[in-house]
Amino acid sequence: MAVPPDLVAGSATGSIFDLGYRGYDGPRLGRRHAISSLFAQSLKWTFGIGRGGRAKIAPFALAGLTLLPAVLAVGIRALAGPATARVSPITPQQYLTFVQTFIAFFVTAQAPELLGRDQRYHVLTLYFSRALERTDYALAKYGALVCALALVLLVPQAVLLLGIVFASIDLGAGLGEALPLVLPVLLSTVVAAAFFSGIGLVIAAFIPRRAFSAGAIVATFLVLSGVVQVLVVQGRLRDPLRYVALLDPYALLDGLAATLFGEAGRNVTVTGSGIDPGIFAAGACVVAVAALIVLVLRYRRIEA
Amino acid sequence: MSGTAPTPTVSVSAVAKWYGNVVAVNDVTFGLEPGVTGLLGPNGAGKSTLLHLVAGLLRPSAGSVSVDGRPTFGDPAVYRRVGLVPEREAVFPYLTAREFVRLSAQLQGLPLGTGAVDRALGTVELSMAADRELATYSKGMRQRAKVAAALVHDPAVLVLDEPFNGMDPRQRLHMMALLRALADEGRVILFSSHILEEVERVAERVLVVVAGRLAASGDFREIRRLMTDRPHSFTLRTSDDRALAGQLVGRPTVSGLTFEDGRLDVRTADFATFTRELPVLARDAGVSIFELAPADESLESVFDYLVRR
Amino acid sequence: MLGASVLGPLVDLTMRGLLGRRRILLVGLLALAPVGVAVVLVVGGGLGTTAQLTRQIYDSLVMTTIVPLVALILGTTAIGAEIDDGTVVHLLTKPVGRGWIVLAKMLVAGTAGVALCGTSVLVAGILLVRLDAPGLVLGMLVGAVVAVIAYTAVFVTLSVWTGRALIAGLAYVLLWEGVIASVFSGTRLLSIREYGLAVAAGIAGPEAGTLARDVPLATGLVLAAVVTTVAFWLGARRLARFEISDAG
Repeated sequence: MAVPPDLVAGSATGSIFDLGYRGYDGPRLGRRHAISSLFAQSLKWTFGIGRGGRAKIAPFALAGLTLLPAVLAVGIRALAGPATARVSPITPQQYLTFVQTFIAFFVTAQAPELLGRDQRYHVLTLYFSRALERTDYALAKYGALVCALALVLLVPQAVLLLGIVFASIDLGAGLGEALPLVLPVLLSTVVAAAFFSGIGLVIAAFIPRRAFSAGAIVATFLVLSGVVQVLVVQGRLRDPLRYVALLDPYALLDGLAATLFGEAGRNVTVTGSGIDPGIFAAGACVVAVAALIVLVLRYRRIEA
Repeated sequence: MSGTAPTPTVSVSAVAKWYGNVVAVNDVTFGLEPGVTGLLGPNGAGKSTLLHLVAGLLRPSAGSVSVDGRPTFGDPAVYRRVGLVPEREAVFPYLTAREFVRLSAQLQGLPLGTGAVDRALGTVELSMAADRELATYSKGMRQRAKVAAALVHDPAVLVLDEPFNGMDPRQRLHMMALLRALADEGRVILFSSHILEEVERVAERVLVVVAGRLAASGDFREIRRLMTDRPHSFTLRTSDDRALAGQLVGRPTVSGLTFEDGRLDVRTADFATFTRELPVLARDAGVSIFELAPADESLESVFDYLVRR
Repeated sequence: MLGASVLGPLVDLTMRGLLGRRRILLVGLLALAPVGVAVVLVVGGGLGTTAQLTRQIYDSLVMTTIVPLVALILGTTAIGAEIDDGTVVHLLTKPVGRGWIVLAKMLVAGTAGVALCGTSVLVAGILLVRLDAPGLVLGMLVGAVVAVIAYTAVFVTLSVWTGRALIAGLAYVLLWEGVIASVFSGTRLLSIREYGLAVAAGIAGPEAGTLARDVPLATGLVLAAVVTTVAFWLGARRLARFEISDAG
């Protein structure tokens, strides 16, 4: 704001103030703030918040569907009484595999929305001409989808864990049963969210048209798991071809859960290939990291 | 245009178009004859909707739109006589201009080898660049390619939606000359624009659309004269502005006087009486009038008035 | 109005739009996945390949996933892309019957699908069972071809009716054919996959094995033909009343 220069009591001068464009020389919030803003906004957009009613349908419907089995399981357990406390339709260990299709659908629905719009409408120039670096953009988007997906997955598993605690005859025993599961739940959820999101985001980064990238993502999940399953289960492959099993995203998920919870794998590709689930878990981590790298590289080289 | 074809007529009668609760075009009636008609209006007034209705791409919610007596919507045969240059930039990026115009010709049923494609490309001055893909074209070149495709079958009615978009001044002049030439051959040309100078220069008639309704139609100078509830402005250059002003200020027909450098601006509510009185007053005051010109008989002021009404 | 003479230019245009880009590589890759599977199995399979294995691959991979997805991508792109970016206006402002436009799209998408999926099934089949079960291979080929043609026709029409054709098509393939039609046997006659499998089983005859179903060959063929024709008719009608405002 311009300060009136001649405001001296008793003077008879006047001024006209220039109310036009003003520069800003004050402190600027900088790169970190830009990244966190983009992250926060992308996270909100993943759930359709700030985008209008229509955009909320898919994520909330999927989140609801993902939550439903947990609620039902806990409900059944509660109704059936503490006697059957040990018998539950779904255990936290099995949970991620149980909802694996919903995870894939969530990524299919949201990865194109996160990346496609900015590319299609040429908004990337606006982003990159600010304090935000290209790498930051990729990281922020990746982080947002991973967090969103992890959130969607953690809530039902938390419900299941709480169900274990409260359905137990005595709180202490319940806690004792549930607490050791917390860390595996957290880890498996984060890694699962990371590698599923990674796959979806990499595909969406190369296909700006949202409908096509959605189709491509779901096709990738379907075809990969379908083909690999057929190969591994029906084919009885010899080494080293057996390792094609690592291309099946659902197998990676199952191996991850099995390793972290200390159990045997259940997915047919995992069991059929005879490969140790730990290798699948490692595979999941590798995919998560590799996808992030590809995403960053893509955005460093994309034409804005 | 072929000499044996009948004179084209476009007739729009009480046409309305609504989408749910939003009325885009409301009770519009006009007829078009050979010549250039400009469709004017602010953004969102319904110009594009009206053009799409005339071009048969939209179904009227009420009323009728017909070319040569036949309704335009749902009748692909109407496109033998009608060509449309749409506003959207989208063309087939993987085609060259020549292939695009040739496609247009083929879909119009023109026999090959008549040179229609080359003629059309020549008319829009794209002959040199015709074999490059449309994806490599600038906006103005794509616009010209679309015009060529719309002209290739020698249409009797040509509808253009914001045709001067993206054209540089030279191309614009060329296009204006082209439209005039086409109109002189007996075609009906209807184009929309929000750039008043363009319309002023090319169009014989204007249709002014405001908020979906037709606010005025005809020669814009005539429209101006019809706007009697607004004072006319005149600019005078005389040998003695002050003396004349002194005479004028006493007359009831004069509602305002302004001195500008070397000019006298006069506003009058009664145009006819003023023009009769002025020479008499000037002679009596001994003032010579060098120039008397209407100050606001531009399309801009007409448009401005109509839009704000 | 113009007749068949416009078919040539329209087919040409569609082919260039559909096939001339990077996209076709992805679709090709998808379509040839069964060949990849066959190669891996033949080269690395422990106990050798059998006709039974081939049938399972055909049923669970090819007909369930590959064929519908390939048809979906080809069918929705054939006219969907042009409607989406507005270039369809250049086709609609011509004295061309809307049926010819739809026909051209279906022809190109269908032919591309048949070429890709047909080749894939044929090559994979021969790799897997060599010449031991020619009836089976022939059956699989014809079944896949019939299914692709019906699928592409449906998806082209879907693109004319809605802008969300890809999602709708996916829902049809995954939810309707994937879940409902397999669970509720009464609705089996409403599934293109069933028609394809019925044709395959019918032609394979004694070699059909586990592919055999209650639906006879003739029914499968007729229903596929009906679906294709109805899809064409619906698409042409809808395109005839298609409205384009300046927002596209």
